[in-house]
Amino acid sequence: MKFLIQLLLSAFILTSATASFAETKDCFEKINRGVFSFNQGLDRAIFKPVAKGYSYLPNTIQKGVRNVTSNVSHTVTIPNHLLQGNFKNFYNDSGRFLINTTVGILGIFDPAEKLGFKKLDQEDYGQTLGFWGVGNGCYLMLPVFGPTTIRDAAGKVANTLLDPFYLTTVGDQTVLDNNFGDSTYYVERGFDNVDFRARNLKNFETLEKNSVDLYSTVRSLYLQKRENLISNSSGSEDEWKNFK
Amino acid sequence: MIKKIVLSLALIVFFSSTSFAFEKNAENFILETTQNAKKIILDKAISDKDKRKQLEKLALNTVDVAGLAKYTLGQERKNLSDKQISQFVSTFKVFFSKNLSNKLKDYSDQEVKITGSKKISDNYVLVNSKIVSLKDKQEIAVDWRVFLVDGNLIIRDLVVEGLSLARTQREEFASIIANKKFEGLIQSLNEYITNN
Repeated sequence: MKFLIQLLLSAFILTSATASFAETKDCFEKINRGVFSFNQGLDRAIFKPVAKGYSYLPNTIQKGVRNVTSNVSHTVTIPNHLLQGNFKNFYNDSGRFLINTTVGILGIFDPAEKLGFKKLDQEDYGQTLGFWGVGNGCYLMLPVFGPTTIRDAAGKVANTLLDPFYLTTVGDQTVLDNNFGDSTYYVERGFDNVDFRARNLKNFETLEKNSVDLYSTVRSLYLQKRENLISNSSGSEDEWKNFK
Repeated sequence: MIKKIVLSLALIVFFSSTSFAFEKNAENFILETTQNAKKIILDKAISDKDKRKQLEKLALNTVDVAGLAKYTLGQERKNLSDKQISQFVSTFKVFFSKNLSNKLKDYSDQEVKITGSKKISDNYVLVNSKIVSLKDKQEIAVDWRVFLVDGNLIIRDLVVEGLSLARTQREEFASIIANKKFEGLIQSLNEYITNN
């Protein structure tokens, strides 16, 4: 374990300082491809069938689940708005969280949207590190968790350990003398992932059918997505300007 | 002095209206292309095989496939001979049309709404659109990179929710080239063509 941490830290330090998104190296490609195959097997055996079953639920239930998990994600998003100095979004999402948790009954409904509090992209500690100028480090494929980078993997650890929702469920912190219990956390996480998979059933199938090398397609899509989230933009245009 | 001011104003109006026309033309071009594609997909009188053929033809007429092929080669293009590039372009053309028609045939209950456009350079406009699913009203943001080449409008890339399809393809190919060389890429494309 210690060796693994040392290895990851060395790779992080070596690659993060100067790495840009376009240069993100796949330092552990062979291992990553192996893990990717394992994840695909796991998806076929468990996640896809569960997501398929979930997709038969009425749209209103699915929307409610999405609203609840999206509301819970504010506990990570809000502090990261602050860490990125984005006060406008901090006020917006704090307002959304307060209104939807109370009036929206634990986030099942989204009355905040109607009151002018827009739904924004989620933020996390990996994005904040990126915003602060920390490079991606090497690309990683984690078992079960899927694609990430060394920086984002570190962010994922912070997303969990610094999350008030985690601390008041799995952790021993309390809110109004209540700890909500481990199962609340794992059920919410489970629903979040199943909902994501269900929404992308068709997209994943199309991707699988039409990729020449699915592993590298997933890597490219993941890195582009993170790049856009960190820069709060929707893709680069410059490289096309000079194309001949 | 007044003459100069009037002339300058006239020139500004002329160029801004020309530029506006370019953007409008690009928007109309995307709208027309997507409507034509939808018409083919929804036409129950056409067999699946013919639908595929018509979609492939539409794609080849509206997309700069040769340009896209060169773009997807990335840095490797510099290391290849003209003969190898032309071999790749012709293989890519077949791969692209099969790949696109495969993707398109799954989409039928969706509507394309043009939401705006932005002129990036004299021959390049980014057209913004939303693809709305009629079933669950979910919206997907799709941007189209439209270029004016030899007087014709052509599509060079689609950016779906911020994810560039051309860039994804380029990075996919780069990975194959790194592992199997250029010949391996051609072989992989041919395998895809045979299997689809």
